[in-house]
Amino acid sequence: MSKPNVDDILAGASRGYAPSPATDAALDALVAETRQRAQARNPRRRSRAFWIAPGIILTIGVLTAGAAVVDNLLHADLPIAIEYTTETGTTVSCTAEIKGGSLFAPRSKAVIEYYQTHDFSGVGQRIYDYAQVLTGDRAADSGALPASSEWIPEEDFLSDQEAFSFSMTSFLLTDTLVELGISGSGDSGLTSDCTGQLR
Amino acid sequence: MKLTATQDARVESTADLEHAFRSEAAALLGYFIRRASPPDDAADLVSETFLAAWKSSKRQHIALEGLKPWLFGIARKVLSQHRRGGSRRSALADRLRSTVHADLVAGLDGGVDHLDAGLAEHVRELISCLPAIDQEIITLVYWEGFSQDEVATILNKRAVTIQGPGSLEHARCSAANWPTPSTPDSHQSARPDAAFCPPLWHLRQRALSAPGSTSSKDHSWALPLTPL
Repeated sequence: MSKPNVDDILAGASRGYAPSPATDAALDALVAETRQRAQARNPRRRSRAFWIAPGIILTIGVLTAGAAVVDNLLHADLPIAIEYTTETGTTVSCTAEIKGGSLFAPRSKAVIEYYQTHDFSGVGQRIYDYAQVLTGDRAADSGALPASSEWIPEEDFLSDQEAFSFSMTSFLLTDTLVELGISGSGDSGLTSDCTGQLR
Repeated sequence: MKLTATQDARVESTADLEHAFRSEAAALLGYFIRRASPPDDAADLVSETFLAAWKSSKRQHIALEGLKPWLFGIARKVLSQHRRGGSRRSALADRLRSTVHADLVAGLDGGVDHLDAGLAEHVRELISCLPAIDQEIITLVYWEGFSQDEVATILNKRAVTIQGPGSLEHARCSAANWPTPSTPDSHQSARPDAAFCPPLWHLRQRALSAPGSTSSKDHSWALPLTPL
């Protein structure tokens, strides 16, 4: 018996697979069907809702003086890491900073604690996935939607940058409002060095 | 052959692309069957990969000669998303799911000829203990038959280095639990899980000494590390 070398061992450990003729035919059909599906635009669903919890008027804009303490505590040590991989394999890394704003001020302690302790790992990929729904490049499923939004465009799909911006705001800002039960009116927002690359 | 920008050429080239996709479909399915858990999910993963590939092909020109590693690069991302719980069942894959299930029930996922089944399973366990990048390189090269350049494309790296982490040699040495020639002293300390991953020759000896083994006289066998 000859001694196999490491290459033989590693190659020989592969679990083989020989598709049946029925599977070969199903694969051929699948290639054609996915081509048609991809060329026909993604299936659209009716616009089902809105994207901000009732009672909240959110303004992405300039901070008010009353929000300064919240804001300072938030963005001093809270650049949130955004990392995602596009469907073509490109990995994108960037950051976002929360601007506290007057909307957060009445619940400043809870807001600061939330952002300081919340696990944002994986949020970048979720932002990307929902942005793709907003551009019409991906069919929506419940797992791709932020808690604060079930908005799925029916016809007027967003541009890449609009979609990414909306998705990022939904996951990082309005989801927090919903989770902490904050309602009312005021200023809040975020800044980011993300470019909204989706391709 | 590259896709061109003119409308007529694109029509022809899209047909070429469909033909190329069909040529790679079985290999792609095998890739997912070997990695997906449960293997029945492979049909949905193939469907998602082709959907993503078609969409991507609308936005960029795909060189057919480099299509397979490009396609498997997408497949790798689809599999990664699946492992994070991000995939979903697709009606497009219904038919394929049914035939794949029948294939698996019929045992068409077997076919290991070079090693006995017990040893093959042990080696797969060992490979699963390797660092993720080494697992990827080992399986892409030895199971899927890709070259180092193609692996670099799949992993979205500019090039697979010759030595050091992320190289085929490093992955291969990890598999054999053999000191990497370039870093003989640091190799073991760089792998905190090494104690839990016995070297291949231990697995081999364990397999040979198992009840019913027919090759026990080969007890002193050890792995030669041949040059790449």
